[in-house]
Amino acid sequence: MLETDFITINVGPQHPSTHGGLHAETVLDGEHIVDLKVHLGYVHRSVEKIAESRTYTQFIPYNSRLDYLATHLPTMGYCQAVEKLLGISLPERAEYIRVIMAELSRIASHMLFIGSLAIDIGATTGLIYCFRDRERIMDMFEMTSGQRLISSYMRIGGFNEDLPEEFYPAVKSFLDDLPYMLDEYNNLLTGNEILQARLKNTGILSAEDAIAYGVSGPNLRASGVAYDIRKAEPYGIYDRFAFDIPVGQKGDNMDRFVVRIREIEESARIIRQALKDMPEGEIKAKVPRVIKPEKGKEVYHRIESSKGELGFYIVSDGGEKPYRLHVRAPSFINLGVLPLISRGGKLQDLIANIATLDPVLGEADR
Amino acid sequence: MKGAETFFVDLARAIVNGLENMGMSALGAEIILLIIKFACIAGIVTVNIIILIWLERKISGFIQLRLGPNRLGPWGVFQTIADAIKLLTKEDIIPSQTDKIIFRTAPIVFIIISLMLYVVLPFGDGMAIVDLNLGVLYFISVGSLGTIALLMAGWGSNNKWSLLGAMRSVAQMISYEIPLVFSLLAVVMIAGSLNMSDIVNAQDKIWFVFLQPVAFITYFIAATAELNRGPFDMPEAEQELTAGAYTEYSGMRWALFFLAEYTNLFAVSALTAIMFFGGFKGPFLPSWLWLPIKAYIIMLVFFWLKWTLPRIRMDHLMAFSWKVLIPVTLANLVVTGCVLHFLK
Amino acid sequence: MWGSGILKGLGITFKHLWERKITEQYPEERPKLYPRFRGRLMLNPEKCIVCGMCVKSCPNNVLSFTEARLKESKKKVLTSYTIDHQYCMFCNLCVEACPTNGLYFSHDFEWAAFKREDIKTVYEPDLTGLELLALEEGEKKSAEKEAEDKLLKGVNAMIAAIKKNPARALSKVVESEEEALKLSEILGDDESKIKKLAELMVSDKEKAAKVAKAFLIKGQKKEQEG
Ligand code: SF4
Ligand code: SF4
Repeated sequence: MLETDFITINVGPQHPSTHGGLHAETVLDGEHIVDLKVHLGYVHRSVEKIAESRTYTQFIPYNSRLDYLATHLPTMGYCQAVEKLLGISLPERAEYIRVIMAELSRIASHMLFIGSLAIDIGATTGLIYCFRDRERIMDMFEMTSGQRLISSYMRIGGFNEDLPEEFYPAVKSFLDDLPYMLDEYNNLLTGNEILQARLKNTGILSAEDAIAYGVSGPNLRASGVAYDIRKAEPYGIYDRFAFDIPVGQKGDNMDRFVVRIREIEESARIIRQALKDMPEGEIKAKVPRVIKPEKGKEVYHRIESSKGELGFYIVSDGGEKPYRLHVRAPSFINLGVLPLISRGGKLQDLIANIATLDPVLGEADR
Repeated sequence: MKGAETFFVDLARAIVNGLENMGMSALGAEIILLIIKFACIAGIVTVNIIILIWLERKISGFIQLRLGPNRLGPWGVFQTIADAIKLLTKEDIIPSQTDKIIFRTAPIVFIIISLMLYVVLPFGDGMAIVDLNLGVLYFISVGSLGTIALLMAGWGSNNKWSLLGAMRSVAQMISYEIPLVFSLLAVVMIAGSLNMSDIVNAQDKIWFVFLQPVAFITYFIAATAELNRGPFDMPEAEQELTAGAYTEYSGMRWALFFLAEYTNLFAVSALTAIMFFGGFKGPFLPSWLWLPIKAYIIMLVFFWLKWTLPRIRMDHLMAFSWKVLIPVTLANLVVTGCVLHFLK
Repeated sequence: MWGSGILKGLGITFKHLWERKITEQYPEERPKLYPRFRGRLMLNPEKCIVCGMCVKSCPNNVLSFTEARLKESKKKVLTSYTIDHQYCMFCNLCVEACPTNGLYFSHDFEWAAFKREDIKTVYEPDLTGLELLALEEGEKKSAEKEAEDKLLKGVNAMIAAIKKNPARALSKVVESEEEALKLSEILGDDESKIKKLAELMVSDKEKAAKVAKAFLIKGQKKEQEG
C-alpha cells in the first residue's frame, strides 16, 4: 500500500468564494473533506460595543452594516426593539412602508444569494442576471433614502421622509417583471442538470440537526421545518398578510436554493398586499427628541431576516445610550453547521455549502 | 480565384525554386522553407490569440449584457495588446519555496507543446507544414502532453491549491483521452486513413458530422474536457482552487499559460473542423480561408458553453467519462465497424 | 430528458447575446440620480444659526465648528465649519436635526483626492467689516480646561522640586530616604522619566509609588548586571 497523507488547506479568509472573511481550515484526503474548522472574526468591527457609545438614534446607521445585503432588515429589527423598549406604536402608514422596505430587502438579499451561488459553482453569467434585477431594488432604495447599499431610512418611531412619487411605478413594474426574472433564473440555473447534480444530495442538513444547532431562516425551512417568525410570532403588522412558508424536504443544497427562490415569490405577494392596503397619513410616531428609556428595562426583539432569526437584546440604564446591546446574528449560528454538512463531501461541495448557507460575514463577526 | 486558391503553395514553391537557383541544395532549400513555415505559424498563432482573447471577452460580455472591452481602439480591439504589454513589464515573481527549474520550464513546455500541434494541421489544400501519415495520432499524443506541463506547474509551485489543480488535470486528462480517441477512431475508420488531408478529402461528398453524429457529440464533450474549458475547467476552477495550477504564476509566465490555452483551443477547434466539418473544403472562398472560418465558429460554441454552464463536480466528471462516454464511444465503434464491413 | 435544462440555459444566454446591453458607460454617460441621492454633504453658511444640533446628532464626529459673537448685537456667528467627509456615513441624521435646513446633500459623488486632508471641507464665512468678540472668558473655557491648567502647573512645580531636592521630593513615594536618593540617581537627568513620575505624583499617588518601585527594581537589576 502506498502511504498517503491528509493535506490541510485554508479555504479563506482570502479566497474567491468565501463571501467576505470566512476562514475554513479544511483537512483534505484528495478531494474529500475529512475535517473542517471554521475560524471567524476577520470582519469584526465591535458593532455591539460601538452601540454603547452612541445614542439610540445615532446607532441606526450602524445596523445596515451588519447585514449589508438586506439593508433594511437589521435596521427594522433594531428600530422595533427600541420602540418596544419605549412602548410606542407606529402610525399605520409607517408600518406598511416598513413591511415594503423589509420585503424588498429580502428579495434583494435572496437575489444576491442566487447570483453568488451561481458564480460559486462556476456559472458566472447567472450572477450578472441576478445583479441586473437586483439593481432595480437598489434604485428604489436610492429613491427613498438616497443610499443604495446601506441606507439609513428607518428611524425610531417611523420615517422622516415619505415614499417619493416615483417609487410606486418603480415597485409596480418590478413586481410585474419578477415572474419573468424568476423564470429566467429557473431556466438558466434551477433546471440545469449540472447544477442539479452538484446541489442535490450534497450538504444534507437534517431537521433534527438543524434544530439542535439553532439554525434558522431559509436554511431551517429547507430542512423541512415550517418555522417563520413572521408567522410564529408576528411582529409589526405581519399578521395581516397572507403568505405561505416554503419548505424543502431533504435539507440539501438544492432545497436551500429552491426555498429561497420561492421565498422571493412570497415576499412579492406580501409587497403587493401591502401596497394595496397602505393608508395615507402620518409616518412618524411622537418620539421624544432625546430617547431615554426607563432605567433597568431590557428587551429582546427578533425578526425574520433574510438569513434567519435576527434578534436584538437591549438593556437600558436610563441614559441616552444603551447600557448593553447584543445582536443574535443568524449568519453566525447558521455557520455552525458548516463542518457538519461538509464532512465527507468533496471540496467542491464545500464551496456550494458555504454559498447555500448564505452567511454574511459582517453579521457573523459583527 | 485560381491564383488565390494556390497562393501559398505557389509562394512556397517559388521560394524553394529561388533558393535552388541561388545554388542551394534541394535539402537545404526545404529546411529553410520549413523554418519559414514555422515562423509563419508562430506569427499567425500570436495574432490569432490576440483576436481570440478579445473575442472571448466580447462574447462573454455580450452574453452577460455588458459591452466587454471597449476603451482601447475601436470596440476595444487593442485591449489584449495593452494587457500583454502590461504582463510583459510586470515584475517576475518566483516564490521562494518553489522548485525553481520546474517552475520556470512549465510554461515554456506548455506553449511549445501547444505550438507543436499546428505542425500537422492542413490549413488548406496541400498546406500542412508536415503532411504526416499518422497526423491524427500525432495530434492526439502531442496534445495529451500538455498535462505534463500542468503537472509540472502544480508540483513546482509547491502550493497545495496548485497541486490539487494539477491532480485534477491529470485525472481528467487520463479519463477523457480515451473517449476522445475512440470517437476519432470512428471517423478514421470511415476515412481509412490517419492522414488529415486524406480525411478532409474523404469528406468531399458529405461531412462526417452527419455520418457520425454520436462520435461528434462525444468528441466535442471530451475535447472540452481536454481543453480544460468550462464546464470542465477543473484545473483552474477559480472559485474553488483560486487559480488551480496557475496560482503562483504571474506576469509573463502566467501569460504564457494563457497563451498556450488559447493556442490549444484554436488547434482543437481546427481539428474538429477537419475531422467532422470537411476541413478546408468549401465553396467560393479559397481553401485556406475555410478552415479558420469553421474553427472560429466552433470556438464560438466553446465560448457559449463556457459562459452558460456551471462547473461539473470532479467525481461526476470522472463517472461521466468512464460510465457514459467510453461505453457509448465503444458501441459507436462496433456499430461503425459492422456497417463498414457489410457495406464492403 | 437529461440535457433539456442545459439547452434551455444555452437558449437564454443566446437570447441575451443579441440584447441591448445594460451597463452604463460611466464617464461619458452620467448616472441618473434621484432627488434624495446623498452625495457630498454641504452647508449653507448663511442659514446656519450656530445651534450645534448637527454636531450633537452626528454618530461619527464628522462635524465641528468654531463661533464668535458680534460685538453689538451679541449674536453668535460662525467663524468656521468643518466637515470631515472621510468619516461620514451619509446617514442623514445631521440634516434631519438642523432646524434651518442649513445642511443638505448635494449630488456630487466624484470626490477622489490624493490626500486625506483634501476630503475635508472647511467653510469660512466672510466676516470682514463685522466687529467680532471672541467668546467671553469662561464661556469658552470650560471647567475641564481649568483643571487641565491646574494640573500642568502642579506638574511643573513637582519637576522643579525633584530637580532641586530629590531626596525630599521623592521620599513621598518611596519608603525611606535612602531609596529616594537611589531613585534620583537612577532617574539621573532623564527628562521623560522625571516628567512621567511627576505627573503621576500629582494626579495619582498610589500609582506613582508603584512606578517608583518598578524603577528602583529595574535600577538594581542593572547594577547587579553591570
Ligand atoms: S450624514 Fe451622518 S455621519 Fe455624515 S455628518 Fe451627517 S450625521 Fe454625521
Ligand atoms: S444644526 Fe444647522 S443651524 Fe445648527 S449649527 Fe448645525 S448647520 Fe448650523
